[in-house]
Amino acid sequence: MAKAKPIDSMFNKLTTTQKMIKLGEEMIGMMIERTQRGFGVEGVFKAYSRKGVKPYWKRKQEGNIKRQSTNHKPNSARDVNLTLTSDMLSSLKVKLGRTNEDQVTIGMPPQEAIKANAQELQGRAISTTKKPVTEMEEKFIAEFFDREIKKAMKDASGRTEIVIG
Amino acid sequence: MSELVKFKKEYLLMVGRMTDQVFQLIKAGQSKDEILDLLSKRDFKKVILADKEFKKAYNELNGLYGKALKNMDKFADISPNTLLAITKMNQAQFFDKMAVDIATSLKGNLTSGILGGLSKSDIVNGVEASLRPDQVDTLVTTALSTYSASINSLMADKLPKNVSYVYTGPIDKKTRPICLKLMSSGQLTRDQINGIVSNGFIERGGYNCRHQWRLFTKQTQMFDPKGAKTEAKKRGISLGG
Repeated sequence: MAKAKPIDSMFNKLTTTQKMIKLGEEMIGMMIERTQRGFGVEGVFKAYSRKGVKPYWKRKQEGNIKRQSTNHKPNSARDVNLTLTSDMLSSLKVKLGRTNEDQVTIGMPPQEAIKANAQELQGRAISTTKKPVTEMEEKFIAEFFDREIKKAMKDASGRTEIVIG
Repeated sequence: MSELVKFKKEYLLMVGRMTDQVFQLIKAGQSKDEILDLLSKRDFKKVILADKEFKKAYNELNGLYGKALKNMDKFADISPNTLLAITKMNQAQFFDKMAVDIATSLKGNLTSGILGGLSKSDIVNGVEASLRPDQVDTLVTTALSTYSASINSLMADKLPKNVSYVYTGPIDKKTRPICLKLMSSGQLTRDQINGIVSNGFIERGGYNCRHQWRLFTKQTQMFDPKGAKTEAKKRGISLGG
């Protein structure tokens, strides 16, 4: 059986679309990392509501919600990481049908996208159509092309897009 | 109201209505023997799906596939036949099974309830206890996450065979031994994964699993093989060879 190798180690042998898939997977990793640190595409996530006898953040802190990941319990209402079971963030995927030599599309299946949209409406956007990624992530994409794609492609031309679908 | 919440509500209402109908027969003077004979002869899956409100909610829940399918079409350029096959397999594995489970539980509880002279509420409680609304949750969550995991498999088809994947997701007291083993195994090819657990690339840890396989890159998150080993050690779980 073939030995498992990280995609980075075979980068020069990949087709351009495969490179786009790799970029998409790296972007997903970055988005999850920043989300779990409490940062959305527009900055720090809005704190959870403190209203009610036992607000959501308190219940989450107790850690007794079904399938809850107890690694991600909040310390306060301001400790927002959008990770309860991890289903939503884990569902971020590269959409193959809309990924080609010019673009990579990242998305969630509908049942999880509903949750992400609900969070966005409450001031906790992971990504928006207007602003799919942060400045830092944009820089990462630019560096990715400088370091890797341009090096590997003889004719790197045209426009490359990151689409959040 | 979401499709799932509506379905669970209609499921409980349908159980009440079906039990009511059987008690109407008793009221109308039918003997225990006649009622038991009737119960044994009827195809209960057909019976429950003949209940208009329940059928509507069941179809709406099945409609989630329509949405997922539409979305999946955007994930990969795959033939309509492959999509149909994946959908049918998933429907048979989860949704049809759920309808059969509900029918079997209802039939069983009605039969034993009539035989034992139980009250209407005892029978309804019995059905609810044998297939609780939270178990319906589990079936639906698992169905949709398995469906979503097949997208990963489609992605794997497009990449070199020896490319490595890692098992990502939470590591805590709830994490199953098989999930600890898969995460602690580190980087694996799709074939190696399927060698550890049959169809493990799609099925992962089974019902209610919170984990997903991801292409391994420098940015991969929620991948903690050391943490998985520590958790296994703490709980006295042998991860084997």
